[in-house]
Amino acid sequence: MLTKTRVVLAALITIILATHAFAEPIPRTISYQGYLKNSDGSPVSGPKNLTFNLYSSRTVAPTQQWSEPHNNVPLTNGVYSVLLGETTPFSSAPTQQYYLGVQVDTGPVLTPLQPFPSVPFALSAASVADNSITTSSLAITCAAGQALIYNGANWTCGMVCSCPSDQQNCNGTCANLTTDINHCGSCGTACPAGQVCSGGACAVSCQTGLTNCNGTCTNLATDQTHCGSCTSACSPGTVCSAGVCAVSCPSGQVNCAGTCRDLTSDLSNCGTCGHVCPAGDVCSAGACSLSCQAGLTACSGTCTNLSTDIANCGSCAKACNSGQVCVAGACALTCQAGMSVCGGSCSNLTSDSSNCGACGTMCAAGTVCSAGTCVASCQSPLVNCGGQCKDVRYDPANCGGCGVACSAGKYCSNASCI
Amino acid sequence: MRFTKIRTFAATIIAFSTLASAAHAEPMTKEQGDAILTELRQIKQLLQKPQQLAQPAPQAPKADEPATVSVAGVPFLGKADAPLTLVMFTDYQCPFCSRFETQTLPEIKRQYIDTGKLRFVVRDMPLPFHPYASKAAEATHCAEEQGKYWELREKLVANGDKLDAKLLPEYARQVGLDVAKFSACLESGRQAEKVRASSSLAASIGISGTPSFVIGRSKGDRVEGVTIVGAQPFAAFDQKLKELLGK
Repeated sequence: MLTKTRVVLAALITIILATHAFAEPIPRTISYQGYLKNSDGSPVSGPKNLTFNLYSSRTVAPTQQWSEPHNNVPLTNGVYSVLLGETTPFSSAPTQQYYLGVQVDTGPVLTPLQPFPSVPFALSAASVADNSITTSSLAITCAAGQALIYNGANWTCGMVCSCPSDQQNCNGTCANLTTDINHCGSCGTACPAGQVCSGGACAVSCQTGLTNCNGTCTNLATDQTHCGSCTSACSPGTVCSAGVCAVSCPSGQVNCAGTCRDLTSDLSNCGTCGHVCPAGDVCSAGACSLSCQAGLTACSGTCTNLSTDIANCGSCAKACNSGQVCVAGACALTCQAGMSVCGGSCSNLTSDSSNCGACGTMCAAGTVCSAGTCVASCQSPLVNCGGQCKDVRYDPANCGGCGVACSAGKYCSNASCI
Repeated sequence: MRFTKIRTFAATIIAFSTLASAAHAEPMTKEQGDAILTELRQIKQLLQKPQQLAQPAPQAPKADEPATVSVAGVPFLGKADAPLTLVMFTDYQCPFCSRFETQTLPEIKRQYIDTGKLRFVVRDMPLPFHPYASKAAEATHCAEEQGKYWELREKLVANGDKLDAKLLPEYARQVGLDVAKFSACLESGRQAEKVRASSSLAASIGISGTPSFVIGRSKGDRVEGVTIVGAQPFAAFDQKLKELLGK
């Protein structure tokens, strides 16, 4: 049975870092997800007894550096998720490269062993140097006696846990008073049925650029819980960028609490996430000021490049249609985030063997394009799918395995279409 | 500025309409009247628009605000008739609450509570983004039913990063609670209203984050004082307490 089973290394390793901003004891567990499938490509059904072993080299040695059994692990379409270190704590942070081997039931350790990548070294964060995260490193100025804190969305100054800076605690609910139909303009002010809350006032329709999602005016281009459509939520670890859930933000933007923001012009995130400009100011080149720098135009208080801004293309409030971009002040068809236009079609330069690293750069036969470079094989955890390195954990066209496409409206998370 | 301009514009139109009517001394037709009314409605909308577009500013936590809160029926540390009372609004998942309790409270206890000058009261304020905080707060009141409120909350404070509901019975066992009764209480949700009421109390006096405090003079089941926001160092509480004691 074991010989029929192989591990497709779709391992997502994350340190479970709690939201503690200070040097409190951090969790000593590592979240690990993997994908088990039979030799015929079908997912293994569970539950299974899995044993995870750490070795100091790529080969299976008689003794492990660490071992932990996980019994009756449920498998969902072959995907499992465990917390390593839950029952057998790691004695210390890793000090060298380790390799992980998985045993299924009583079978042999599955090979090849998987490098335990750099993320587990974040366990060393338990001993991060004092003051390495500072007000100056985050470009935030705190008043005397205050400390930097993370409120689940932003770094702010203070010594208190509270709702994100753009929200207010309305009797147990963090509410955005500009959009929340139950707390519109002030806590407890509900909009009449059929109306929306737009700009802190009840209205019959949303402002330009926003969509009515169940009564809440929402920016589908950036909203983490309504990404691209009212019913599409991004999974943890991804952000909503141009209406698509993506692993990271496009160039020039920063992930602020799951939303891609342009810190050079965003009034609510000016220069740094959560830094709100005073009323009447604009955010210009990452600083709150009274007027925009040359080349930018103030659109509703935000310094905007009318040449490139899809919400203000050519002029303020002139938005491009979904799927379009703003090029030289005119809306044009384009590719989704992470893709580039190559010869009139969209190409992922990091994985496209015909456009590897740059449009027109083809990989030689027998090689694949991995991270924008032609190589003999894909870098873990990417998988060679027809000559292209794909991340089967997140690729909706290869979700959980090559050629496994998610249906329309679904996205790929942890190798499953959801 | 824009608002002022619009007001001026509106006044000009009204004045112009009035003067024009007076100069010609002709009776106003219904159409003219309707037109003026329509225009006035448009002006009214323009006047209201800037207010609608103004986005409410994020509310900063307020400190040193006068506040009076009831502590009736709430467990306390210290002497019942202590002249001063310190009320803490807390969230068991908030690291700053834990920070206060481990770094600042021991000294307050030594200098003020144990000496009979101060009564210390805890009120709940679980925050919306802390998924386990509300149930943890309920758990303390389930422990209160068995007379072990302080014992359990001390355990929860020490384990602020491990408050998954499934762990609560184990903490209850460790502090000597009847786990079956405790679990039945927790599952019934009968203490939830007490937690909600406490949160509402915090909101009613403008408290929006944790830890926040009301520090002041004891007036029977009430405390009349001011708010302190955040895990301030001992010196901040010490100064306020000395002021209240008239030192």
